[in-house]
Amino acid sequence: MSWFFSAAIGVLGVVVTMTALLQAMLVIAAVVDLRQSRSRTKHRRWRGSLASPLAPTVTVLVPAYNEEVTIKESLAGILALTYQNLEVVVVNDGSTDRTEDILVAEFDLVEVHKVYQASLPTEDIVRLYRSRADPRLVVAEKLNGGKADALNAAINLATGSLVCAVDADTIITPDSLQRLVASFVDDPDVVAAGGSVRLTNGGLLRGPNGLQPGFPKQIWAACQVVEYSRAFLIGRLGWNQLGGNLIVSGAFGVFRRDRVVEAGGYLHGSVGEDMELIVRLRRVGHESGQRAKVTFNADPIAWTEAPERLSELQRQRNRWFRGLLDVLTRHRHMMLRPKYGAAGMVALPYFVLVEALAPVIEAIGLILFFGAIVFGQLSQEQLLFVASAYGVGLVVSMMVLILDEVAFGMLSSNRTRLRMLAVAVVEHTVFRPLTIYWRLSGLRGFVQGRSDWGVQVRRGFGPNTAADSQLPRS
Amino acid sequence: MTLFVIVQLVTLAAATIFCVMGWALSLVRRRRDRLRIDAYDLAAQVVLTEDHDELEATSKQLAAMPTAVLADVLHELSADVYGESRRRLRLVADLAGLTRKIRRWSGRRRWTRRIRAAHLLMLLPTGAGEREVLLSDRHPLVRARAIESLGRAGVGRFAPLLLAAFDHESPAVRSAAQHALAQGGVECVPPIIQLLERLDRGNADHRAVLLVAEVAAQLPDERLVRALLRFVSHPDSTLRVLVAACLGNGTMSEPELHLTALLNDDAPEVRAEAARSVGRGDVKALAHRLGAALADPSWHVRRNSGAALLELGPIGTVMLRCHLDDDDAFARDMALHVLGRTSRLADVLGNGDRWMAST
Repeated sequence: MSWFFSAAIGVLGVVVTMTALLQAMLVIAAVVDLRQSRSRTKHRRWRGSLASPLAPTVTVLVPAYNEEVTIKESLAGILALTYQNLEVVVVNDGSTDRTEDILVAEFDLVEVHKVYQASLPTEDIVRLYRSRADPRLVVAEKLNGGKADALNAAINLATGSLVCAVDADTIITPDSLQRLVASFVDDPDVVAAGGSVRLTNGGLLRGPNGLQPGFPKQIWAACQVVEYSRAFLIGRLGWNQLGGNLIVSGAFGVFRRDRVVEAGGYLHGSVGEDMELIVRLRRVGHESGQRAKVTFNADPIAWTEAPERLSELQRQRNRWFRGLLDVLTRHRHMMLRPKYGAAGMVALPYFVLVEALAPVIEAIGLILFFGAIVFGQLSQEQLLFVASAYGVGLVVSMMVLILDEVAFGMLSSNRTRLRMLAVAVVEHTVFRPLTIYWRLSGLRGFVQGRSDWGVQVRRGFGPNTAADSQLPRS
Repeated sequence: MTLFVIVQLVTLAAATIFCVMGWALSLVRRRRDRLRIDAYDLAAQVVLTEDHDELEATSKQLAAMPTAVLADVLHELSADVYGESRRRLRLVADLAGLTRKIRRWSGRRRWTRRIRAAHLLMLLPTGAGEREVLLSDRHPLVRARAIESLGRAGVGRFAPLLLAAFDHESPAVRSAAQHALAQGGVECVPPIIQLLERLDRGNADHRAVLLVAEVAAQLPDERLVRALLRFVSHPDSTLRVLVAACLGNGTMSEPELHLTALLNDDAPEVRAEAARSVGRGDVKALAHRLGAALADPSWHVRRNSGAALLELGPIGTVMLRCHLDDDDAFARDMALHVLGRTSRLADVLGNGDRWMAST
């Protein structure tokens, strides 16, 4: 029996350490990428860039479902973007709350006869509105079909050559679109570009030009601040150097419209529709001989709200893991095939090993670890070995925090920094095992064939939001 | 045990570095933010006055500030000042020592230094040789950013150099040149026309032709319209689209003939752009032609025709009203959709004849 527990603990330690070391490599790649991008953009003035009539028109796609709490502020922030050639399409996906009423009242909408080109199949659009106050705004009311369906409907209504998908509860900084669109203008091979997403939980917003985050008081939101830093700095920025970016956050990403339509749009029935689209864009690009680059830019920032209750977090992480497994299963034929470049040879195997398999192995390992303690099969050396393995992961988290602070300086005081450190420990020792457990339930859901989203509760952005300030329209 | 201790020590060290570095950086950032506000006030004050003594004294104060702060502030201000104020701004940059630094950076071996100079090009005095050096830089990003920083006055002076950039292998350089020229003034027109003629005569790279034609289509100048008309029957529909686009800029006195031909083009994208140009150029004589285009097989042509009719004012609205009873379902739909946007649909539908009589 003891050899069994020893083997399990050994595997646990090795898996945790290898995961941490791979992430450490991505941190180093992230440092290199950040230095290069800072060198490229130091002193660049974004306000006046892409102001020529040749700048591509960008359509911001806003899928909304029961967003009555946040839709007004989010949309006000989007309409305040300084990008000149802008259009905004909101698709209300059969909300059961007052989202439509708020939109009609706040943005002076008038119903128009429904005419649009259905390049992508979607559920029916019931009503189409245009805004008298702002001619750039179009709102569609449609039968409920899910987020992917709403995004496809928005793409059908879009006229821009680039589309920017945002969540209805996201606030974007005013010059963020220029920063992302520049990637497309400078390199025609770029098909998708993502921006950094930060959390507003506990944050004090001072209008579109002066967004200053506060550190959330609620522990699970605080843990997610650490987690998001790690996910974006490692998960996205690090992959820039390796050419293996497979995710553009659904909260804030820009795509070439024609390539998305050519690839078939967002996939219905997938809860990981944002990652699935990117992988498919890359696959279609490789198969048709057209290059399909995906980049991540750490500077354009979108602010969103993270769930604070464990039940909501569980549903979210459950859904994310099901989405990940769904994508990996659908595109498994790309794995380890040189035809698909870095996506097939490096990125997908990494996601399989580190993001999909490792948590499952770690979960089993942890159960056996605690079993060993209960049955008295755990020696001091073994305990210290496991503690060291988790310690390596904590070191990587610290590296990320240091990088984040040096590059972006989001923390306002020493007290906040100390809280961040304490939260990093809690995140690594308590929150992370919880997410692993939720991923296991996500695995069960995936095996059972679940494809639902669950219920999300919005709390709004709190006082002093962007909409309360005098929003300039440049 | 040893491994555990080492890991703990490394964790502690990382945590300490995080706290100490974070604290130190926050002090630096706070100081920099304070200095930035002070520098902005000082610079704005002196740029907007004509007191030369004050200018010298203020420049000395600004010279004592960190280079990064000074560069950011003066660069930010340069976007909002023109003419004499800009000349004073450049003088301030010179007296504060920033111009000397920009000149030094522009000659550095590392491109990361040269790109800083490229971003700050606007602060160099008119006629500075470094502009040409950076506009011809070997690193594509430096060159692209130098083009971006030229400003409208600079675009005119360096138009030939920008046009030469259309042959560059880097898309960043080509697009920067395009965007800069598209915002240029009348000084850009003669070199663009010369280039178009040369490209049309010789076996030029088709990509370069398209790039130049795209720029020409954006500049409101009749000479460019006439130069582009040589491509009105070109086999490449993209060029014909650009011809259609330029006919809508309102500079040509009678574009009806050419627009009519383009509205009958085989390629739907050409017809769509021609329809758009009828609206932009307020070519009321072609309202009836747009009405017919509401039934075009191509969605983009129908959409653009509807929008263009709206732009034509009452005559366009009358045309849309006529098509509310069209036999063609597409035409009916589009007319209904476009009229709905004017919020006068109910009025038009309810009092159709009286409303038409009043217009």
